[in-house]
Amino acid sequence: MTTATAALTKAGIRGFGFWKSLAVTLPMALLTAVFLIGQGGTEADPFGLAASAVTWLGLTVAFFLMLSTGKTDRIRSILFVLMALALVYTFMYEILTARGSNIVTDAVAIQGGVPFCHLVIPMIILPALATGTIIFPGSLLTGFASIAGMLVLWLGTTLVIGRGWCSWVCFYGGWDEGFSRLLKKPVIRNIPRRWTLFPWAFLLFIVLTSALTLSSVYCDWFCPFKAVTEYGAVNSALAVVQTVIFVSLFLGLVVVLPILTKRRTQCGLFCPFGAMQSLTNAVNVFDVRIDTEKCASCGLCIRRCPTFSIDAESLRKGRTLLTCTKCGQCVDECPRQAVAFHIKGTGAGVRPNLARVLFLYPAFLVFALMGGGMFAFAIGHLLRFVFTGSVA
Amino acid sequence: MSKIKSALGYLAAGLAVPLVLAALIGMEGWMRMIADTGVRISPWITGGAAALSLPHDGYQTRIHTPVFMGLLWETRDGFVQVDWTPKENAPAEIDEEIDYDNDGTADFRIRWDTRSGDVALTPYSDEVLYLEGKYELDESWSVRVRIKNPRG
Repeated sequence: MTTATAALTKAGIRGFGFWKSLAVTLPMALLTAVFLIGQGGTEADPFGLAASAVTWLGLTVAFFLMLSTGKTDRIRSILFVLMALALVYTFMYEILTARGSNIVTDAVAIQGGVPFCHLVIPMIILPALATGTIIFPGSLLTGFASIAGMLVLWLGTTLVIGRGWCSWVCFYGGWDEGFSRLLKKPVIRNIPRRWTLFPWAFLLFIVLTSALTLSSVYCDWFCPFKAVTEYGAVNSALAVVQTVIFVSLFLGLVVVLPILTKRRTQCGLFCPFGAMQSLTNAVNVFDVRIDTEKCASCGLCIRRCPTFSIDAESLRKGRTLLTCTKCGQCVDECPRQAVAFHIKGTGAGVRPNLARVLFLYPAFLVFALMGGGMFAFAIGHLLRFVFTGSVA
Repeated sequence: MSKIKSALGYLAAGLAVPLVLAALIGMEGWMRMIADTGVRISPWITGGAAALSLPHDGYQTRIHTPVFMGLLWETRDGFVQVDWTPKENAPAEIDEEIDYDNDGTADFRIRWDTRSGDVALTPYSDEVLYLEGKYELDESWSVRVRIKNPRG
């Protein structure tokens, strides 16, 4: 790092002081407290209450640190990975308690016993419009992760943070994000840009095939996360093929490639939901901009962006691509503080701290509400296990 | 103009948190609104609505509306679901002729030993193709029989 760059870095630290951070954290602490009360358990369950308190405290400290250090992604990433792990535990526990197995049998599907997941959304839209029906074996209003509940959450969040969903709310994204952070340097550096077009083609494919067959083609054939949640009974040659595909995609896209490339390859090169969600960035008020006057064109942001959302052309224009998940990694890492969260309609680089706080508030709030329940649930069980030897 | 755009930008950004809160606080209401659109789970999954119930001694045979739904037009074949419910009262050996189109003539016969799981389908017409599946549901013993679409 040159002396000039070092000076800029020092001058550009955007963390707030202690008291200002505390003051900005307080409303978030109150909001999360209101929503987290009782998430871990009832008054009769001291472990649940303790878990809620621990979760609330952890989230409050994390938000405070985001403000005081000026770093977004560094803290978000840890929470995001923890949420992915907490989801698997919570999901498995709920499913095993309700059904006794994480295998989706025909009987489970017929009775709407499959929790709804946002990855299905691209596939259900056309059939819902054309036939008034939802091609997913879940429950519309009741049970763990009902279809209507997830749709409301998705719509609300999408209006507010667009594809920020993929770095703040998606309870699967933490898997490839976690693996992508394991090595210090990538083994595979050059990934052809054309590969980033694949999710769009794949989105078109699954939307059309799902509409034509009135079945969730992605869930039936391509979802890598079946490997860590639930899957069909492996009782036929077809089911064996499907299972091999699920496990291969998980190992390839969620484990091996993220480790080797240090990128979120499932999210950036495969996920059709992510592609669809990118479109919502076009109408979302928050984005990430690059101040071209400050930018030294070092290309660090291009190399580091986990979802391939900055290229040379977009850098020249001072914008991220439509696929930006607003994770904040480029904002954190730019040595010249040239990258910042931005509010559309305002000038690039104008009041970046305010833009960042205005983005962090809804993004973190949605994260806390989505992840908080899972954290409280998992921590409650952990506490109960430590003190009683049983999670039940 | 740029000041107006800027003010609108900040206004929209400032509305983000209230929007999140509105989504969460009003969750039940929003969910009900989705349900009120009349959207329902695909009959290919649920088996469709029950069209006919035939009472027996302590249980009933429930014949669903045949499912031929396609995206824009009906499929050439589909299935009809038949339930015996409640399953606790249904005979261990189900043996029944089913008239799923309610034309007064039986279309197929199902013999199902629910203890061993052996099921036999005897089609009485060319429109009945094969047994698609047998299921033990929470409330019923159910079968799905593949059938041709008479309109297809």
